[in-house]
Amino acid sequence: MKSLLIIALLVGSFGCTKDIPPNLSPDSRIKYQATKVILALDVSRDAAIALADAGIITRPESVRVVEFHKAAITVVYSASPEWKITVLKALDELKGVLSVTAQNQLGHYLDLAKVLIQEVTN
Amino acid sequence: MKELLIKSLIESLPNIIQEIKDLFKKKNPTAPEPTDAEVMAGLTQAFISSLAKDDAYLAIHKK
Repeated sequence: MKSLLIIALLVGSFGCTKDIPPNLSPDSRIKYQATKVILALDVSRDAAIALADAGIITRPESVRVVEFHKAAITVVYSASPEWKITVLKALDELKGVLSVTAQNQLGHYLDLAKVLIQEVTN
Repeated sequence: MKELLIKSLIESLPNIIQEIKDLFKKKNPTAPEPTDAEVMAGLTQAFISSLAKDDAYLAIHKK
């Protein structure tokens, strides 16, 4: 699983900003990347749910991740000027409050979302 | 018990792996480029469906 994520990160570094359709307006370019950010956050959310279903992390921890996810995608969708900073900060705060087990299991997914968010260009 | 838990996780993993693959899927080079309206629609759809899943999960598990 770890190697899969490393590969995904490498592919993502080529796939996120370099495949933005050239015909889009500047506003739509942001929205295009925002969609990918939401999808990346979805992966973190779904991983947390799956891990809770398997009993590897606690259900309250998965609820915390889902609550973070809901707030994060709302901020991303709003496209407020500070959305990147807000979501990146919230990601770091979430990692800080998770148990060691949850950090070990979810850390790579959260880092993947972080990479994509940081790649978003204005 | 442990075997059952691992089995449950393994059964969930294909969905997660597929999500990662979809995220980084290279688009078909012959497909037409999306328009601004299509991009907005795609973003809205992703947001609405994701939000619905969050709300459904929280409705069941949040105390």
